[in-house]
Amino acid sequence: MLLLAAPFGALADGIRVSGRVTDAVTGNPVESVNVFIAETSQGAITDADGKYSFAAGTGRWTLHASHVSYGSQEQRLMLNGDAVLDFVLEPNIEIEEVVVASRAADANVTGVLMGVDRLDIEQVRKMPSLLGEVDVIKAIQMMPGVQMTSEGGSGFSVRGGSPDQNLILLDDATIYNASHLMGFFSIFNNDMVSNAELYKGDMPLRYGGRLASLLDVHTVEAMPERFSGTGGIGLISSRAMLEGPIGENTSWHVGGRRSYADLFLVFANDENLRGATLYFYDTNAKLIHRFSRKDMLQASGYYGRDVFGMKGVGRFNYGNGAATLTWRHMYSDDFLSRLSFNFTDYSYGMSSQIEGLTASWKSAIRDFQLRMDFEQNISRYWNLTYGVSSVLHVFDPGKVSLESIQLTEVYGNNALEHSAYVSNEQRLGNRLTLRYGLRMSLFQNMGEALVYNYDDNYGATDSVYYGNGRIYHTQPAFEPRLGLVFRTGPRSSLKAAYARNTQFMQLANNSASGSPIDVWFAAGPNIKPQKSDMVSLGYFQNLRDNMFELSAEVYYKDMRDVVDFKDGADLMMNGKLDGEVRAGRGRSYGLELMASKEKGALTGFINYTLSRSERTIDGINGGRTYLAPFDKTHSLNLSVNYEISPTWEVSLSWVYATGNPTTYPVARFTIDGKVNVLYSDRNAYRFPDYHRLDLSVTWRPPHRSARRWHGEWNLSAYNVYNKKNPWMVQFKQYESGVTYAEMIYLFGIVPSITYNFRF
Amino acid sequence: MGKMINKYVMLLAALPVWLTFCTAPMDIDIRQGDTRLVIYSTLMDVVDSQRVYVQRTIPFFSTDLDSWVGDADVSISTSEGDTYTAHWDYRRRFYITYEKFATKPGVTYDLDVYYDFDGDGAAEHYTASTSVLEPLYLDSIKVLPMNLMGRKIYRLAIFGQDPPGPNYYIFRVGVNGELPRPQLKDWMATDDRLFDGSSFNNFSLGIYSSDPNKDTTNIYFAPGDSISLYLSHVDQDFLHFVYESQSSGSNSNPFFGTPPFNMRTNISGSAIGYFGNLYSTEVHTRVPGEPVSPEEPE
Repeated sequence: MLLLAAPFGALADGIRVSGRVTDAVTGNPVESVNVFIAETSQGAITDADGKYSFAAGTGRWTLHASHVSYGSQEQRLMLNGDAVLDFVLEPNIEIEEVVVASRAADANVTGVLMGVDRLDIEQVRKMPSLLGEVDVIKAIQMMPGVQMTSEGGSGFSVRGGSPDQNLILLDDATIYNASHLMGFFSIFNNDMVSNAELYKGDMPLRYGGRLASLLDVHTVEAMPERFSGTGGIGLISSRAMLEGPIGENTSWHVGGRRSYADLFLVFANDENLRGATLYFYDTNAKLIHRFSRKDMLQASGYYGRDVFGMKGVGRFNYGNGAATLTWRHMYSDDFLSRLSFNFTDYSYGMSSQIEGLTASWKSAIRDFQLRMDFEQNISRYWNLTYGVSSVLHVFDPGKVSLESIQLTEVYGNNALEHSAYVSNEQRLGNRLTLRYGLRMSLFQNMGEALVYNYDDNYGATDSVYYGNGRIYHTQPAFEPRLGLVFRTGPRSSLKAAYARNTQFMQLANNSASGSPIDVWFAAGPNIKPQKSDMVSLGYFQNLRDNMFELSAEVYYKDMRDVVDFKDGADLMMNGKLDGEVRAGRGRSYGLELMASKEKGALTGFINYTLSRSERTIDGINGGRTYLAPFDKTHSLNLSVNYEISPTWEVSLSWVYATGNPTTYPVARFTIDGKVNVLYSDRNAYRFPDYHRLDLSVTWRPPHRSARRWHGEWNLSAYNVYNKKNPWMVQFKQYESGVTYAEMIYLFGIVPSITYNFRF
Repeated sequence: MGKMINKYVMLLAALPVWLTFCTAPMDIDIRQGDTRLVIYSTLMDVVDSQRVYVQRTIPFFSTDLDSWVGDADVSISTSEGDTYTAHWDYRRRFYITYEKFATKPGVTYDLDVYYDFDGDGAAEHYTASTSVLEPLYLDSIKVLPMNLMGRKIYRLAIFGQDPPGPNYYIFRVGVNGELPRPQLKDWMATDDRLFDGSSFNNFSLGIYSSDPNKDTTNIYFAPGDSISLYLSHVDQDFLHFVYESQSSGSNSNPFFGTPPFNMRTNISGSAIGYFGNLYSTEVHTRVPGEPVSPEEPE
């Protein structure tokens, strides 16, 4: 209340709004456009390059852009730091929407959330890629505090968390497995993605349910001015995206990808491989309709599958389906709401001929979510957001059918996850901004379910059957989060944050890498939800008119009831999965340093992370503390892009990280004629350090102005110096009986060529 | 069969990795760990001298042979009041009881080993205990000829009733009165997940080749062979010990494996190993005539 009653002083000016105005048809800059703030009349006229820039005060403003030959546009803008807004004007056609091409230039300094990495898809496209397929998640893995969990994979660990502690959203729909081809590609088609944001633990109160991070991926939202398309043709996959308007108020976007690596298998020496199937495909679709200036409806969908098969073995497929329907309504310029229905389906299935018998296996998890969010600007200095959400989770862990012999089914179950939140952002004086709020969750296990009771030794004693729709266990959670930013200068700030997160669902995965057959399961009578408390502190400094961004963050995260699995846990088709789970404490802490250059022909970043992540769980490693699976002491990432000329561009990425913790055999003995081994403490050893260099060169043929077709060739090489980074270590014996270690590695140098186009 | 399905699912799901991986030798510097005492014995249900193995662990990369211990005091006592002393059999490298005996349902057996492991002049006492559960009797077994891609194979099916509650079983297959693979690493171990508390009719226990040149299990059937199935009802801990021993030392797959772990032990003190038992019921059948294609109808 004290905060609410605090007097607000007038804020100092010195903030600049800048941008560029271009012609929607020709793409050329538009001179003499009047760009101004309606409420204050502050503004400027664009120059011959279509650029404008003027000083403004902090607050929420309406920004107008008008030209006698182009009509006008306007956009509401919350200004609390330098901002860049680009306008695309249609000749003599009135368009309401402004394309915001970039975040505020100093958002890293002024934004009150900490541990946020924002990736514009244009940044991602400049990075070298594996097999020529530009990937949002591979780019995220190069952010400070983020580690890839396995070579080439789409799994990532944020600040010592496990991959299932990351909430991945595609247009607000949860994605439970974001990988294609065992992670070599992610499910995100870069033609359809507009941007991605990674919140490393301190996530907006609107979101919850995971301990480590939120990866929020958005597909394209800009209203296309005409029918257009983008795409790419690569060695093992191709993609395309088409979009266009329907009238003045509706736009559509469709995209798709298909890999065809299996076409090359016909040349394999192995007869079984010649008949193998190995491909993925995915499709995206989006429809946006504006009923009026105040009402907009947005429908978005995704569907993708991976299909693997071997002659004489069978066929396996897995994939995601996701759909969102959102109605946005503006009650006034300062008050808007979003009503959303989100649907997610992740499933896998197998059909196989096993020794002459037809077997099939199916598993799925589905979410149905309804949510309502409000955003209200009480005053220029007070922004309030609040909302409610309910999710129905449907778990279908597995059904195995073995033709005419057996039918096995692990009982499924359901859960309801309700949440309500309120978040308040206030500016106190010239230098201080506060963000604070509370998220309240209620997780309810619901039948139909068969729930086992366990004794102290995790042995199942009896079971209770709950009928369909019956709620049999309820767990509340309160998640306060707060943060502050203190401006220490015009281009620098000090930030601090505290966040509590609760996670009600986890992945039954006990290995170093996620696999498509992992099963999600819920907290319940036998498993408490995982909780974490994280505090972080950071200093942010921009230099040379925001050309350079520097930051240093430290964090400490305490985790309770963090989940691991007992030694030798049996996680597949196990109806007594709860008995395999062990829970205990975890902690992680670290330092993250980041420097980036945002403007100019040479752009890029370098970051370094020093971190530690540990677990202490009764029943694992004798109750002694052990390193978390993705603990990496040192991590260094370098990404550089240099635009040599309008036609030539080169990019470089170099990654270094301490090797993953692992457990090695230290002694051996014999039981009944078989050699058995005695292992070290869990994760007492490490793989060799990981490092890799990737390069790419892009050539854009000179463009003839009359043609709409733009093409470019991209030549890239993954792991240029052919470093053999172990993915797995196995132990073998020479004929002499001497034991030796052998690494399995996935990639040597991998060159690729891709032709990208747009029209 | 459930594990077989798991295996196929894993193979298919990891296909992209299997198509891309390469191998290379690597150097690993493993610190020398503490030496541990290992004690192992599974009491059998045939009247014979029972065996107890005692050894020290040796470094993993060592080229040394097994480090057997021959100067321990070993004995086995029963809940019926009997005690059987064992002596070191130098030639066969294990301890063997002087008296012959067989395990009996309802009886608990205690193992006592005295050995000065730490060399301080005083023998440490290591103990373990195992109880024989009530046996389960199968109704019947059946050998069904099949044709798999032109290859003659046989499916071994079992018929019976699983008792209520969790149950754990070890199966061993005999051919013409012999156990072709008698060692622990070849036992078939399973819980009752697939038929919990219900009857299991025509449950497929295993697939066996008719051609010894193509069979990797060293168990193959031929028309007219007498097939014996030995079924042991064991406790959960022993079943998991068998699982863990069978998989110990195998390479863990980063996608589907679990982190490596040390196999369980029921030996007291700092020793590792296990003291278990097998009490089996038998059921027999005969391999029918020529295999047919496809599977013979029931």
